[in-house]
Amino acid sequence: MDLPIKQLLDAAPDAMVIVDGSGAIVLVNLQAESVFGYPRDELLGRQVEILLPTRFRKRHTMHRRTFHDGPRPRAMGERLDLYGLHKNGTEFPVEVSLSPVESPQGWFVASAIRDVTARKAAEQSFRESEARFALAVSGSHTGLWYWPDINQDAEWWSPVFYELLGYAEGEIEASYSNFLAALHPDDIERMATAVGTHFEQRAPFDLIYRLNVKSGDYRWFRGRGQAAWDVSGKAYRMAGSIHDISDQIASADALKASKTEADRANAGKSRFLAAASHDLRQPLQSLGLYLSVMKRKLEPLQLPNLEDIGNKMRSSLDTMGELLDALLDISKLDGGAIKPEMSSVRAKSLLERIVSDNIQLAEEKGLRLECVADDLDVHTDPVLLQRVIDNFVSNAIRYTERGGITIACRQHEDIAQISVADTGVGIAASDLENVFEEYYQLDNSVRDRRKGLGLGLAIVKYIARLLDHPLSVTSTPGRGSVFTVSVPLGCREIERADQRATVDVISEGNDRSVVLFIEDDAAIVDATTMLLEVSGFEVHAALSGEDALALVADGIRPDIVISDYRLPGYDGVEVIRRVRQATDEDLPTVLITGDTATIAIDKGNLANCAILHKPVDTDQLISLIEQLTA
Amino acid sequence: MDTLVHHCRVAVVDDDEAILDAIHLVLQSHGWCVRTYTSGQAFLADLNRHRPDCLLLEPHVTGVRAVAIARSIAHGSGRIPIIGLTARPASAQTMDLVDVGLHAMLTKPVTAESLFAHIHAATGQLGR
Repeated sequence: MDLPIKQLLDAAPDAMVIVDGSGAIVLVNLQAESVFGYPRDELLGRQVEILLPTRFRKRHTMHRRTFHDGPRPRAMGERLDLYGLHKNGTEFPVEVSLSPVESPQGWFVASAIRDVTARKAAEQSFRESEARFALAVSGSHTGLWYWPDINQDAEWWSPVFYELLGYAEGEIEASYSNFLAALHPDDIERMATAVGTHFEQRAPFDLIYRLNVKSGDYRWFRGRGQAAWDVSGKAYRMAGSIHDISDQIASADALKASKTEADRANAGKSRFLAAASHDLRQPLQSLGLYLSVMKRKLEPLQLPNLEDIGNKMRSSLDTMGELLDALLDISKLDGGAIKPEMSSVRAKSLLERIVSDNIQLAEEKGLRLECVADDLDVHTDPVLLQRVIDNFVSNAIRYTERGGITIACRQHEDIAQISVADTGVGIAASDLENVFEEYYQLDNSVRDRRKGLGLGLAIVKYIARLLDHPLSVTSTPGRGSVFTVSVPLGCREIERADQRATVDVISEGNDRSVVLFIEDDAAIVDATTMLLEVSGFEVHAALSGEDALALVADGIRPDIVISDYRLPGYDGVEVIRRVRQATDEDLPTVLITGDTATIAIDKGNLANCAILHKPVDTDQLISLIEQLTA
Repeated sequence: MDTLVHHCRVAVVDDDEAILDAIHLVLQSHGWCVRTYTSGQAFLADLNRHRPDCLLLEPHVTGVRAVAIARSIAHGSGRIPIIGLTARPASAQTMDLVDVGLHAMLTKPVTAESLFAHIHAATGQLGR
């Protein structure tokens, strides 16, 4: 039978390109025309390498010859990322499979090519969110422990916990008595007090102590934990984490000695700076006045050249005055003459004030200046913090010619991140670490006064150090920069968080909810399982829908199912449907998806299902599970 | 012109001679009568003969303390407004002087224009 081969090819979902033994294209389908952007007749007879980015062409020609010598069907570049080249010059990631075809005219190679741009992007964001998630749950250096019943000795220690103590997993028994045995004798009393006040007064449990590790050495750890209290207010279980901080402590000790010496020298330097800048004001004063007398005397003579020189001298003097002010500020900040006065302030009103102070300057340059702030209270010295942000904003205006500046304030755990983002020239990576140094200035090798004095960010650095507010900067040259200062939250926010924490704890009952968790990435499974167990759930994990159904068949009766959407075999929706069929049609479920576009879920088929997007906020996940299983 | 309008007398006390000289020149060129003193003693000694309408005083002047100068003026007949002019705005001497009561405390360097404006305001004269 003679098949209409051309029509068949045009119906194929992938781009098809068939080449002969010399690499010349002999047949293409409709998809190939649209994927690569060429009309068919521009491709026929051309070497197939026209469809590849130039840098791959030579190698491809070589591979093609090898393939012709021993052809077999295969996917191309199994371990490589492959790219196609569109007629308009853009590259795109592709997947290619090759099939050799023998005919009386010799060997031909048929290739099916698929544009995988969308999938690659999805994979990328998926990988990033996974990594963030795993990190959030268990830093690679955080040991986790869980003490299911504080009246019993038995505990559970995570693999990292064992590792931190120098043991292989399970080498010693995970128990409270073994923990106490490892604790440094001088730390036992502090530990007992901390645990006691945590149980009775619910004070945060956060303690630095020494543990005897397997080698016999004592190492320093920072331990944090959280108990759960039953309805009568009695603590009944506890979970937490430990961090090895020995290296920090050792280097802190070594630093202390040299720091004292440096501080002394530094204080001397600051006093000198302050004295010098005061004394420099005297000649500056007389110079300024002499200059204005001279200017006045020159006026009737009408000598424009001299007048011009007079103006330049005036401007130099002004610069000198500003420099002295900045120097004096630095010496005060560095020398301890300024003591911050901390209080709780509303970040939003502070930022709005900064906007109104700077809006005119921005508008004169045709720039947008706006503020998007969460309504947060922050704990800071408002006058000093305002100087920091004000400095960021005036720099942003100075280095931005088009676009605008956005001041933002966002809560991130227990701090507020206040950032100033611009669409300005940006800062090269090599310059980023220097921007807070005195006299460092961008794009300004000839010191141009109009571009600032080079001391502004240094002042910011000293203020931030004084306030203990960390600074950070990120930038893309040509796109803009973001300067951020991290400020602790004020009382109001901390109270809110405390209330939330208390409510969470009380709402946990004694009956552990059973969670069936389905996810095909083993690392995420581990991290999430640990997190959920520490939070008091009984967790059964499955790497695929089939595994999950097998668990159910074995008699596991979950109170809730949490499933990733993208799974090998059945997708998350299908898995949930089948688990429900096997157990309870109203079983609460959570579907986690990494797709940026919302996946189409037929609500009719999948009622009562919550959807979370990656990266999943762990607090959010836990409170959602608690709600759904309540 | 305005040179003839003002008959205001200004005394300046500072131990930096260049500053005295410069203030002298700049005020004089605008028609003020100016006397300068390198110490508090010199100023107080001359006070009966040449009583100024306004005193420019550096709080850190050597000799008699600036606070004492300010107090003695306040106790004498007729108040003389004082304008502090200092290179060390945050020092104890400056603060003490502010506590005595000043028309203004200016930080060096100040411009001639700002100096004029403050003297005008202190002596109740208008314009420039």
